[in-house]
This record gives sequence, structure tokens and C-alpha cells, in this order.
Amino acid sequence: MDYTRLSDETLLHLIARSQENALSELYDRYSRLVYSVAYNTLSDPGRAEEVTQDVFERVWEKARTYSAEQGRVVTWLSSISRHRSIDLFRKFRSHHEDLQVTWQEAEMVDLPDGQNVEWEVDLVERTQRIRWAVAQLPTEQKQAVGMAFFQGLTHPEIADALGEPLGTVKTRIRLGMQKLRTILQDEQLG
Amino acid sequence: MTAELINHVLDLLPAYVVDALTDEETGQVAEHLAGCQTCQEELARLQQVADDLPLALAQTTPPPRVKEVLMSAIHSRRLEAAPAKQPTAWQKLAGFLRMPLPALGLTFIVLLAIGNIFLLRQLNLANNQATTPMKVIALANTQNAPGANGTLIINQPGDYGTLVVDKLATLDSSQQYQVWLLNNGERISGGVFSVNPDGYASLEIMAPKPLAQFDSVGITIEPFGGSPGPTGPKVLGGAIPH
Repeated sequence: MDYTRLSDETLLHLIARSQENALSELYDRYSRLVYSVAYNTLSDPGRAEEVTQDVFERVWEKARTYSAEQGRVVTWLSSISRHRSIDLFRKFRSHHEDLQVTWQEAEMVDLPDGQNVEWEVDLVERTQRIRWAVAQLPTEQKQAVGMAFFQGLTHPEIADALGEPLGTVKTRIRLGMQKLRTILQDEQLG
Repeated sequence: MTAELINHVLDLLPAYVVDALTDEETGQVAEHLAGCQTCQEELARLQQVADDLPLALAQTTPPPRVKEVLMSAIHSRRLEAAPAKQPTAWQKLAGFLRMPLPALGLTFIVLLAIGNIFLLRQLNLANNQATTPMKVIALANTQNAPGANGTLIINQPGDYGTLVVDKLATLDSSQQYQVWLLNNGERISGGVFSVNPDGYASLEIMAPKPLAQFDSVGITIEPFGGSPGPTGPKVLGGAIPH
């Protein structure tokens, strides 16, 4: 069976039936994403590796509980990685570490050669859209959104870490997220 | 509801989806969302943005050893879970009947001795189990989930636990139930779950330390995928006896 052509949901269906090849394929698709979420939260390659392994072990154990109504598989995976990473970040955080999130430069993401399947086309398009939208934000807004979403910091914690007024941080997150929503919505309508 | 109040919550929604609000603010927004269609629609649009944010990060490939360790662990687990292949009853009987007569007699004596040892071990095992039972903790429902039942079963060393719930309301696709473990005022997530149409679910509880070391367990309604800290209404809870 060519697992690379199967949808994410089908892979989870097979993982729930203890098919190791299906887990291997899901890992190949999303380990970079899961690891990058953990690395951007923790700034620690060793702990990011632990989270990555933990996330896919959970997938192996919990695939049976997933249903498509719960959202996309990629969202489910990144959500598990983010929450697990934030738990560890809070546990081991020192107040001297780098709290920056590294966003990818907006660039064209090429589809791999060959016959591209639906899941691959969809993922590449969504990746390009969000990277392009994030690239439109001022650096300060990107930074504040990243610290909240990936490091689990609240408005007052971000203001404290950056030495900025609380109101400034609130405005940066509000304007940043609203701008992303508007850009992505306009693009879909256009 | 006044337009002013709706505006106020709409302004908080961007921070709500990226978890930047304090616990108190998050509670206020969640309460408002429950009865406001306008804000729910805006929340759904912002949630789509938040869901895709991880795709915008600079991506790095984990070292190959991560996959090697993972697949090796999964393979071992699968082998442990699979029952060993046993010869069929007919195969056992055929082998037994092919034995020469003296060997058959000796085999009967050995079997009798093994049978006695086996019975003795069973008796000892039953005695041990009677003195070292698993903890079974009945969770109490709150006014947010009248009629719901929950039971947490913790193994004897206290390392692992399984949660079983019944008659919890099915949530819409933007929400899930989340388990919280409390110890000395610190809360950590024990996992998220959804229930089937009957309100039933079972969940293996994950925790960085033995479950028996926690003081209590609670379950709240949270955005899909869970929250870093409890934000929604509590539905079940109970103390873990030490």
C-alpha cells in the first residue's frame, strides 16, 4: 500500500488499528511541524525532541478517539504539541531565556515533484497563505502574538518580559490577529 | 445585551484565541460567548487563523534518532499487547497422545505437582489483591452537568489511571472536555477528550508524576484541543485520597 497517497484521516484510522507504517507516514508528514512548535516554545532541542516523541506516542494511543468533526489532523497534532510544550515551558522557564518566536520568511513553498495528492496541495496552500499574512505584520505584533500563542504568556507577562506598557501589548495582539483574519478572509473572498 | 458590551468582548477575542487573557478575563469572555452568536462567529474566524499559526513558524527537521526511538518503542508496545500464539487444543492433545506410555505416566505426576503449585499461587495472588486494591474514585457532578457520572481508577502503585465518564453533554466541534490534576495549588492538564452521543468516554490519564501524588481531579469544558489552564465551567471533580 502507498501510504503517501492516503489522507491524514485515513492514516489515523489505520493507526487506530495498530498499523505502524501509517504512524511512520504521519510522522514523516508532520514531525517537522510538531518539532518546530516545541522548539519555538522551549528553545531547547533536547526537550523539543522529547515532546515530538511524546506527541506521536499519544497519537498511537489515542488515534481511536479522534473524529473528523474535531478538526483537521494537522491542527490536532500542533495543538497537542503546543500544550505539552507550554506545560514544560512553565515548569522549566528561566527568566533569562530568549522569548522570541522565529517565523518563516514568506516564500513560495514548492510542491514536491510527482502527482500531488489532495492533502499535500491543501497543506502547501494553507502554509503559503498564513506565512504571507504573518509577513504583513509589524515585527512588534508578530512578537507579541508569538509569545502569547506559543509560550502561553498572558498580556501582563508579555508586558513584563518586554518592558512595555500593558496597553501597548494588548493593542499589538488585537491588531495583529485582526489583521491576519482580515488578510486571510479577503484572500479567500478574492 | 448592549452594543457596547458586544464591542468590548469582540475586542478581547483576538487575545482569547491566542490564550493571552488572564484567567478572570477568559472566564468573562467564555461566559459572554455562550449567549452571543455575533461573538461566536467572530471567534470561529479568529480560531481559523490561530489554528494555522504553527504553519507559519520556521520549520526544522528533528534528528533521525527521534523517529528511530519512537518506532522502536511503538513496535515493542505492539508486541507486548499482542497475545502470544498458543497451540490449539487439538495440537496439544495430538502431541500428548504421541508420547510413549512411561513418559505419559511421568507427565501425569508432573502435571499433578504443577496443578498444586498453580492453585497455591492463585490463592496467594487473591490474598495479595485483597490487601492492595486499586483506588476507585467516584467524581461528583456540578450544576453544570447534572446527571453526569465519572469514575477515576488508579492502579495500586499509583502510576497510571483511567477515567470513565457517562452522561456528559456532547459538545460542539469547537470544544472538548479537559482533565485537570491539582497538587498544592498547581494545576496540570491530564488530557482532553470528547464523548460519544451517549455522553460516554474513557481516557488514560497522562501525568508527569504518579497520579496518587495529586490532591484532586477536575474536568472542565475548554476550547477544542484544551487550554493551558482551566477557563470553562467545571462539570466533574473529586479528591484523590492518600
